[in-house]
Amino acid sequence: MNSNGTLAKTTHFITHSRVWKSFFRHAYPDNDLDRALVMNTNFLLHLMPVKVSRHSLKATYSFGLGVISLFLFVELVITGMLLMFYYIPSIERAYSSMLDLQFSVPLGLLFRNMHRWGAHAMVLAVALHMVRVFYTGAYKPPREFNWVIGVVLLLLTLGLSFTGYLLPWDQLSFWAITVGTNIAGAAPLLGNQIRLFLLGGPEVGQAALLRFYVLHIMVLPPVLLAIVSVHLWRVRKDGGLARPEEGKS
Amino acid sequence: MAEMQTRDEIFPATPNKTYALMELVKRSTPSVDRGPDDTVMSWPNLVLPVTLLAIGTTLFVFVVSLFLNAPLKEIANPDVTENPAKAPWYFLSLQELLLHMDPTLAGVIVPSIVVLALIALPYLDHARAGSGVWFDSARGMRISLIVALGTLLLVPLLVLLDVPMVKVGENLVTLRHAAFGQTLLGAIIVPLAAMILPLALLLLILWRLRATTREIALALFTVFVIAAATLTIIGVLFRGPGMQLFWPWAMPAPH
Repeated sequence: MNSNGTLAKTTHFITHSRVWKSFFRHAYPDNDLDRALVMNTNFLLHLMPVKVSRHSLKATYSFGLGVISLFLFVELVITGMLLMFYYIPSIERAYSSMLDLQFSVPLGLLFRNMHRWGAHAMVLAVALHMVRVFYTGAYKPPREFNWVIGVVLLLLTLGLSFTGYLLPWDQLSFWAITVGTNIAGAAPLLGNQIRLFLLGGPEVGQAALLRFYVLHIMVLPPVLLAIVSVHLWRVRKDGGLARPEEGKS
Repeated sequence: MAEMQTRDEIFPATPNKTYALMELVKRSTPSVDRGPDDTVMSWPNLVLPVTLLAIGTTLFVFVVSLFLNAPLKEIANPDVTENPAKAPWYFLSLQELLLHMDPTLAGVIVPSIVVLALIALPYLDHARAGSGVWFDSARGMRISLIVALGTLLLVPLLVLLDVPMVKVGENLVTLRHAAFGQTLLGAIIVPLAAMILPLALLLLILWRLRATTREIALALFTVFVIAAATLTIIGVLFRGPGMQLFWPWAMPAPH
């Protein structure tokens, strides 16, 4: 028996085994029935439809910006959880825990870098996603409300990035947040109250650091996750990605 | 009944079949508003690109992180002001506006109007035609391009008009300050006019062109995107100590 035969036999043995079938529910999808079934029987795949329009698959239509934003968020959750094992949200220890992460924690520098650059990339990807959706007219009925959800998601992304910006507790973060919250303080009537509410005091200090930390790791990520779920569900329920009327493409 | 005849013609009932067509209903298919169209199986046509995007995105961030370290300056010190003290890059367009007008106008009113306009957009431009098409039409693309170029020229021009260039006593101040000082006129009316008059002119031209709602939306959104991008680039690359303008290659070190 040649090696190809062995490979085919092994593959067949694995994909038809009891364990494989219990996990994937059927053999590798090599026919249209299985290709349809796999989309409905796999938890991650069920987010996608069984069939998809060719127009939606064109790279130059969507540029994959929504998918990129989603995976950047996943990457940020994972690296963020790793950073949480070392980061301490106190003005005495925050900066030294940053130094620890950079210089003595194995791979600490790498994961901090990935969290930082991933966050910048996510703000950019979400903004570009909105620009794409606008210029392709994808906010038109029946997708109006999903556009509104998208605007909320953009604001949440900015909030997540901004609250994370203070945490290193270095000069860059301290003065950026001072400038940023001063903008909020300029609001008429309630401006000062809003600033006080965000900072927990008149200046950026321990109260502000703790508030930003709790917002950054405990409040905003679950809220974003919940609203992203609705966003993706609505993409499916509104008929997938927007595409022109038949015969007009 | 006409429907009964049609049904029996299409799907005649036979005693050896355990199933039958029960009813013909006039309505849309599950794919909203359309019949079955040009589709392919998601496995692997959609699953594969999504998986590649997941790997590619992670790999991109990973590789960048191998070569570029996240910034970490000295420990925060409320007594030593960073100069320039800049907000994160995505708020630098707002910080730029703050240099040119009353803080309530720049930091609250303008961003609130932008967010409210974005939320209202799909309820104002609600025609279904043009959904899923880049720039709607050739004319829509032309309008967007011309408006983008105009905004790209006008925004830096307005910023340059507001740099300190007039000597008043010892100090160099902007034309705006020299003419109006810190009055309502100088801090609110003039900056407001600088924003509203070009927009009004744009809307007048669009009205003369009998522009559709979608074309007006394209023009206004383009103004917003290009203005925000231009102000952000000015903030990131051209603002140095004291928030003065410098060429990026002649930028003094922050102190």
